[in-house]
Amino acid sequence: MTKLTREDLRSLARVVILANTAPSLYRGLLDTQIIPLLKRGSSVAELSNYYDRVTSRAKRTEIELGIAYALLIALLTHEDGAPTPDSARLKWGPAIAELITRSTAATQSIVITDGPRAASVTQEQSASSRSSLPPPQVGIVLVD
Amino acid sequence: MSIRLETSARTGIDNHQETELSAFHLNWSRDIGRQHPAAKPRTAPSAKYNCHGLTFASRRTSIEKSAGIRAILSDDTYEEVALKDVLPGDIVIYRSETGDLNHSGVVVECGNHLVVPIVCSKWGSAGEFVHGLNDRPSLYGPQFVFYRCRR
Repeated sequence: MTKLTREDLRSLARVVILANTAPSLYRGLLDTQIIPLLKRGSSVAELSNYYDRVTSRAKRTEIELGIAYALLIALLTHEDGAPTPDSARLKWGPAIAELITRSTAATQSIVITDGPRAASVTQEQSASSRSSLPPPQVGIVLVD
Repeated sequence: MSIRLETSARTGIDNHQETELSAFHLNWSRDIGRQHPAAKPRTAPSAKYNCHGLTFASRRTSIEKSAGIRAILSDDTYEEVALKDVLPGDIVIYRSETGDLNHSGVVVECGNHLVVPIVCSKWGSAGEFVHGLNDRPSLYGPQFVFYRCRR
């Protein structure tokens, strides 16, 4: 389970609102450091499942959009060979996929693994009753 | 939805109009102002146009692709201007390290009394801000270039 704080979710919403273009959205999400968190905290199958769930909704909040784009980037850049997600489910998905392909082709990457992935943690109840933020998505746990 | 938008050489420019803003969006937009306290909000949030839509399309629509901006700069005879020669009315384009044209705005004030020019630009769907050249979200990119239309 990936743990995201309230500030993580706020930063996702902020990036979605501020981005003017697909590259700025991509850069903004990379700057949040949430993508490495997603990769470390969840398996490829979990990330893929979360992506499918979030993108299956027609209407999404800014936080859900931010999570969806972050999941897309995590899957497209995953070192463990994740199945290719359907980037067309998001307005800027194909453009971001192209950016990633372009940057991967342009540079020779050296993959550095940071050791065994952390074991799954026990679920924590979100403090949604005291929070104005929407409840977290399944598989992503909100922590204070 | 899009509108018919062309350069002066009749090159079509891809564009897109969104209309809906959620209640969350309006809340988050207030939060953005707090992150940049020196930037003055000029308008309410709007999804109808983005920064390039303000700079090049009179706030009518959003232009999202760098190729469209490059076509405008070329067809409409924009030329680069050095920082020391910038005047109000010139435009500034912010770029990523890889050359993506992520943000643009209009210079509204400059001169010896200022360290850097003051720019009016649209920050995504959060509304327009009047801000110092460098006082803007970092996701727009570290580089900037000024342009002036020479027609």
